[in-house]
Amino acid sequence: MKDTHMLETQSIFLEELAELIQEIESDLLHLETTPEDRTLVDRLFRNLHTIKGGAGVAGMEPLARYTHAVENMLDMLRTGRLALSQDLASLLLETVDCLKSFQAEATGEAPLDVEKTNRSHHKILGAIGAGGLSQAAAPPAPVESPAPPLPEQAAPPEQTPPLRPETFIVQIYVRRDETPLAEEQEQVEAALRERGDLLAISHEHNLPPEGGGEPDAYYLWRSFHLVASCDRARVEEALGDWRTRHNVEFSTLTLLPESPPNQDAIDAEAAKDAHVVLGELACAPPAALFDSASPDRFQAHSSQKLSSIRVDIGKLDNLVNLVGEMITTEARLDRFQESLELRDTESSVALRNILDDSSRTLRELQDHALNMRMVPIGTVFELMHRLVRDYCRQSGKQARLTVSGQDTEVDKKVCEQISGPLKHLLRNSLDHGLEPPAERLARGKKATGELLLRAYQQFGLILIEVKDDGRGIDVAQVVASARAKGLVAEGVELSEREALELIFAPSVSTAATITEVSGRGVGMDVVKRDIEAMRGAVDVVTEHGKGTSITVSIPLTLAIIDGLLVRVGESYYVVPLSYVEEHLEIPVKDIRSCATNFLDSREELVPLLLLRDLFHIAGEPPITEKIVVVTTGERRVGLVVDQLMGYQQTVIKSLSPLHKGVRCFSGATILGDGRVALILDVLHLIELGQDSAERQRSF
Amino acid sequence: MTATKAQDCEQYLTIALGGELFAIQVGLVRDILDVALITAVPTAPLFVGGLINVRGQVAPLADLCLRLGLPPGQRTINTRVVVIEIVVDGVATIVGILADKVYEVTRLDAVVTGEIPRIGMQWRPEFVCLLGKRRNEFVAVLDIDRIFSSSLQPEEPELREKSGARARIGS
Repeated sequence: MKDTHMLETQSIFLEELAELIQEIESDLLHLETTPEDRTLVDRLFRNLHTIKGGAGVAGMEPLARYTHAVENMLDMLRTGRLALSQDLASLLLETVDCLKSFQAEATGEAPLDVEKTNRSHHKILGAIGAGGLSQAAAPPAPVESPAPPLPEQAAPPEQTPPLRPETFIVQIYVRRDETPLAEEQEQVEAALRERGDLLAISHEHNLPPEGGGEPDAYYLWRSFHLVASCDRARVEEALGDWRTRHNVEFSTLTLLPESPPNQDAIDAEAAKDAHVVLGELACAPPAALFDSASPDRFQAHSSQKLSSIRVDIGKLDNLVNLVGEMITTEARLDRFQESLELRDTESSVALRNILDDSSRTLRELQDHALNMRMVPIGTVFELMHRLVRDYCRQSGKQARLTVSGQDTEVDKKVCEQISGPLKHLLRNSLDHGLEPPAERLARGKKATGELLLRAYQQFGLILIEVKDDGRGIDVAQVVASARAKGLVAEGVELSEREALELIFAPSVSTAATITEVSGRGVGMDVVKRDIEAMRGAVDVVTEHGKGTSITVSIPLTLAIIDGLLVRVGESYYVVPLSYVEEHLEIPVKDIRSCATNFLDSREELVPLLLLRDLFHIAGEPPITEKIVVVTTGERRVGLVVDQLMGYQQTVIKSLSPLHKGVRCFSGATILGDGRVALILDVLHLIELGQDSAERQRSF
Repeated sequence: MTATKAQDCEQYLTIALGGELFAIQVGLVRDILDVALITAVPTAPLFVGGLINVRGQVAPLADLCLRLGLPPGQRTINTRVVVIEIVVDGVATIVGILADKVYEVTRLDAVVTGEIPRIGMQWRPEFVCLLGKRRNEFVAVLDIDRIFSSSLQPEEPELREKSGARARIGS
């Protein structure tokens, strides 16, 4: 039973650890550009405390020891005993890698890189030593530090500096029917509080309900974190007869001997943090929050932090799915109501009103449900700072990354899937786009290249732009590379757009030389595939010598779209409404007899795609067919269908991996009658239409 | 084909496909449904050319006859959809399988060890992981993972051909 509790504690801690590491990394990168920012150092210090405390509670001793050293180094930075040099910044970033390694070990992803963490630990201790602390670089071995014997009337730790306070963790396991009485509990807590700074954590939720659970089993009921300058015997004494009546487990947080003053008070707070869900982190130095440990202070602090809770993403997905089912059901109800309307007007109107009400509520519910999945894209952007920095240090190029629109909210799923493609794009910009400083100066540019990462919302889409002021893409060279690889036949001339499309073809490279980072011709095709998997698109604008801008557009949400339902033969398809420009009716002979298959619309020839032919659908087309003109703003294509069935909200179900080769459809949905309809991938269809259009023009 | 495990105490669902007896491990089976509306997926590999609604989820529908090289089964009153859950490319996926008939959940009486005899078998042996006997009839246990994992490779030429057909439209 101890083990299950431990596992639970550990999994809570691991979730926090991931967030903390990310925050630490981002703060470190910011610190490099703004070394005078005190709040950053303070927050770094605090976050490391939290990790240290949590690691102790979760039983991850090596991590606790390691972070302890890092924390000390940060403390020296904070108090000005160490200066922030390039080397120190690198050392700190290395610690992030080490923390990740600890994390990977705990989650079972990869074994701990012992050599690396040990090396880093030594370096840190070295840095601390260089900073003038009396302690020499000690090996990162566990240091058992039994508390020295203590006179009965021990003074508080502040007044007897030689006596190092120690953090005891006391866990009380009780039988279900032997829960201590309230007054007993008060007594023990008071006794403990006399001995030092106390934090009591209730685990009552651990206990099985009345009459449930195994009668002989012990359940974790309370744990106490006590920062005291007394020995274990004194602490045990405070527990009274609990030691015999219940199952009591003792442990201590092991600290390295060089702990600075006030260390332990901070530890206790860090330990507490490990149990509280992380909301907004206060930036004040922790010592100020914790000068005297009053329990009220804890309470106030905790309740404030609980204003946000952590929810498993799977549960949110379920919620969104259920809302989706509701919308499908509602569509059915709607249709049913409409079929009633003619027969019985009065009750039909009443029903209509009820349906309208429920529909409004449902829309609102849907908005909220989807909103819960939204996260600011800034979390992904933060990762990119590190990438740029590391690249510049390795390559000798100089680049500055400017980020804007971090607050733009995107679906959590998008956020997870976008980071890979963005990294690729940035790496490309750094490697192929930006010139080395000397070359830049020769061209009259500033030595430091400018990179821009920008997110914004438009037309129900999230647009993310990666822009550099480098040399731009040499279109001629791309075409030459494609020709050499046999992708473009000799003698075939390509339009500028077609030529630029080639950079997304596998194995075409824009780079004259291959570097470690990129240039092997793998990359852009992967980027495009990943983005399209999210129903997105990639657009490139480049100017030779001036730079390149690549814009990725992704739908706001991956769960629900407004669609136009169309029918071809017995098949139903959904056209995402955001792409629909207009729909027209046209006599069948006008389309079929016309050799070019172009529609003359607004003085522009729009290529037509006959879905019946495209999808090999059996049967004869009706006398008049309908054309749905879809557009991405610049490019458009007319989809020829049999009939327009009407608008409806559509819950997107993604196609299974068995259908990953299917490109004309971005997903499927279930209609009111239970039938499955496919959702057209408009971007792909437009491409198909344009390709045939361009071929047409070249004749 | 390598030698099979000597003893086999797993339970199987036996089905008929193209006039032959096949078996699926019961652990994979989620549901057995009547055939409802099937939505064709143009440009998809032929043997997973459909989609069905499985209790509110959209699932691909596979006709294993096309995969196993058997004559396609006729849709009859006995035709059923066996819904299985498998992992494709690391994603848990539900898939419907068309069965000419569904018989029973059973153990195998005996397992054929060693080489699977080629004689008398119409199906492609690479998609069968175990051959057993049940009431003196041969039962071929389908290698579901293999059937669906490499599913897209052999279909690629056909896909390309189709995209060629697509390009012709409109020109």
